[in-house]
Amino acid sequence: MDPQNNSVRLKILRYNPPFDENPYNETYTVPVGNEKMSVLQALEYIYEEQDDTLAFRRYCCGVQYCNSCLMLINGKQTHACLTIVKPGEEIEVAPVKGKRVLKDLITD
Amino acid sequence: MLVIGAGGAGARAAIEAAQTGRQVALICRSPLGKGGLTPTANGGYQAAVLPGDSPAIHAEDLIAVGCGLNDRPLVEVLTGEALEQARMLEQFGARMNWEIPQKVHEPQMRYPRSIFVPGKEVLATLRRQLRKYGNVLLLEDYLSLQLLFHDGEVVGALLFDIKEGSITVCESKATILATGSLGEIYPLSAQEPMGLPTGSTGSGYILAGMAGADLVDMEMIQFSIVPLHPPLIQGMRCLPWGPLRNSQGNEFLPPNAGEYSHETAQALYRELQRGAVTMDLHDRKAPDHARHPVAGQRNRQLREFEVTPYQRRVTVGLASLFMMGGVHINERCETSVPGLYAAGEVAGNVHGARRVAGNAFTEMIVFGARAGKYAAREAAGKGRFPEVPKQQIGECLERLSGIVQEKHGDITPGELRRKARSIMGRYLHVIRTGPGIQTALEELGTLEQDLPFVRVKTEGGLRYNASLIETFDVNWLLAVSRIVCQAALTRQESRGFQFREDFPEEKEDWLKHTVIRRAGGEWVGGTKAVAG
Ligand SMILES: Cc1cc2nc3c(=O)[nH]c(=O)nc-3n(C[C@H](O)[C@H](O)[C@H](O)COP(=O)(O)OP(=O)(O)OC[C@H]3O[C@@H](n4cnc5c(N)ncnc54)[C@H](O)[C@@H]3O)c2cc1C
Ligand code: FES
Repeated sequence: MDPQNNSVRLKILRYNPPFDENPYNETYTVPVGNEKMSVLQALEYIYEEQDDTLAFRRYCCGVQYCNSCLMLINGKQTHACLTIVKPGEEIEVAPVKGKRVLKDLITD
Repeated sequence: MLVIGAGGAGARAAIEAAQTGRQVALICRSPLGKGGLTPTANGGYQAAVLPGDSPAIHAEDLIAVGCGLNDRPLVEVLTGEALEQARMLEQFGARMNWEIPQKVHEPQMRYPRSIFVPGKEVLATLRRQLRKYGNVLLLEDYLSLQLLFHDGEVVGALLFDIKEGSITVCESKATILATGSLGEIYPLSAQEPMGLPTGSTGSGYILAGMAGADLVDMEMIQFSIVPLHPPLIQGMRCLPWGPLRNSQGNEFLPPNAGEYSHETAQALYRELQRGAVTMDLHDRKAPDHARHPVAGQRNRQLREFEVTPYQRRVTVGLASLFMMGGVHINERCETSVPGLYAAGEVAGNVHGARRVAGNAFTEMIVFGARAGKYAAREAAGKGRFPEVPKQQIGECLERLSGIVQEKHGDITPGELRRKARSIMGRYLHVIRTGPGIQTALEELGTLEQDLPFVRVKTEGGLRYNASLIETFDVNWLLAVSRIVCQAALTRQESRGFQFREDFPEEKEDWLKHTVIRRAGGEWVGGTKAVAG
């Protein structure tokens, strides 16, 4: 199988003040097999398997109720728990706009 | 006063305490409404409302399903105040649906009782109410690491500020634990919607236990059916109910077994040992959206995910759902340690050996309010703040610096967590045996030896350091797993959600709580009478 089609790529805007002078992008590749995945699941995979310094709100309600997973996905503010990524896709993830970034995807 | 945990129970407790004019700190490891179990819940809130029904009948039903292991005075408080507290919630501004669906989830229930108020609505309402009080300090993203005790009394807590990566001491004249559950000790949990955590790692049981509180019936954990595949809907509840079929395509559930019963869980467990089990939903309709907003939401989600289970079969698994056992309380929510109260799922002796669905919300609101009231009363009676033990603070700081120290080796907290969960899934699921539990204890012991070597990445500082938080969690997860093992080993019979293959009968002389208590630096098992 073409490995290219069995993964998704996430370009994530990272920023850890005061350690980082400026925000920067970091790209991760998540193997997904043939399954769809939510962006929040992909972030959890990155945290667990690739980079445990990535900060986002991990707790999930699973019902689009708690809003703890709000972020900018491809420039649009939306729920990461509800946004699907399909094998082969590449998406951009950033913290919501207009709020102070505390670390990576976590805002005030 | 200090309230630890801002789910339904903690938030309700803080309001009640605030009304008395006390200074209240409500602290939570996540922002209010963005963690724990309350936001994930469907929203059934049971109370005796229909003509003919009464709190007394409701209580008898709960005790019958709980296999007699419930403390009757607590059940009577629950059923007796259920309606009054539901009305209070409505007065606070919650939109409640009083149209009670006819269907009962458990065939033993003599009346349907589910009023409907989703967890999100409960928390949004309690948050609005809390804002009215200038005397409540809401501290979000604070993790309580340890209770401080002095002269046999709880006098405060040590908090870790997740935002700043620093330690704070909170003194209190009365402390309420409302930290929720421990479902994450199992590899598949309904407390992890979509396989993602809620922070239900059992910290509260350890906080209380280390301060000397009695933990009762820690073996009693309810398991329920959840989708296993596809991953997008793993652990998600609230599917409609359809026939379960084993790998041969045959139905296997005992007739009339309730959806959330131990009979159903045990039958499913045995089938899962042999092969995959599916739920046949091909002729089911999606639940009624208007009456059931949470189910409606999930349906929209399933459609968007393009994994709608209707018109097809869904592979299912058995997931941890609810902890019946926990910190022993009395009607005033006092634990066995002075100065410490508990309410909500972390408390222990309400639901006995099996909880009836829809009564956990009632528990969290009724006992949340009670804990707030009685803890405030105790605080009001104390003149000065009790002395905070410097030595405990020092010891804790030392442990902490050990955790964040530079380590060789590469054991991650996630790896220990995975291993611990797999041990619990293998030996402490709904069917247990003495030798299996012994093996689990040994294997957990081996993992515990790795704990000091867990490597925490500190290059980016301690602020929002997820691997540090997970290291705290895995310490709790291992400790509480050990406690569950010891309680399961102590109870040499089968009752409700404890099934011991080596003691398959329910025994009259085991109509008592198991107790796990800290003594001489170890967890020691015993028993305690059920309050009649
Ligand atoms: C999927 C699902 C559906 C359910 N549906 C229903 C239903 O319809 N009806 C019903 O009656 N029950 C239901 N239940 C059960 C019910 O949701 C829970 O029992 C109830 O919400 C528990 O409330 P709580 O306040 O005790 O705990 P939680 O809501 O879990 O709150 C505990 C809080 O404490 C915080 N915390 C934990 N440890 C610490 C610490 N050390 N320091 C600081 N903060 C801490 C957590 O972050 C959390 O916010 C359901 C459960 C699940 C999993
Ligand atoms: S996790 Fe709650 S809204 Fe996404």
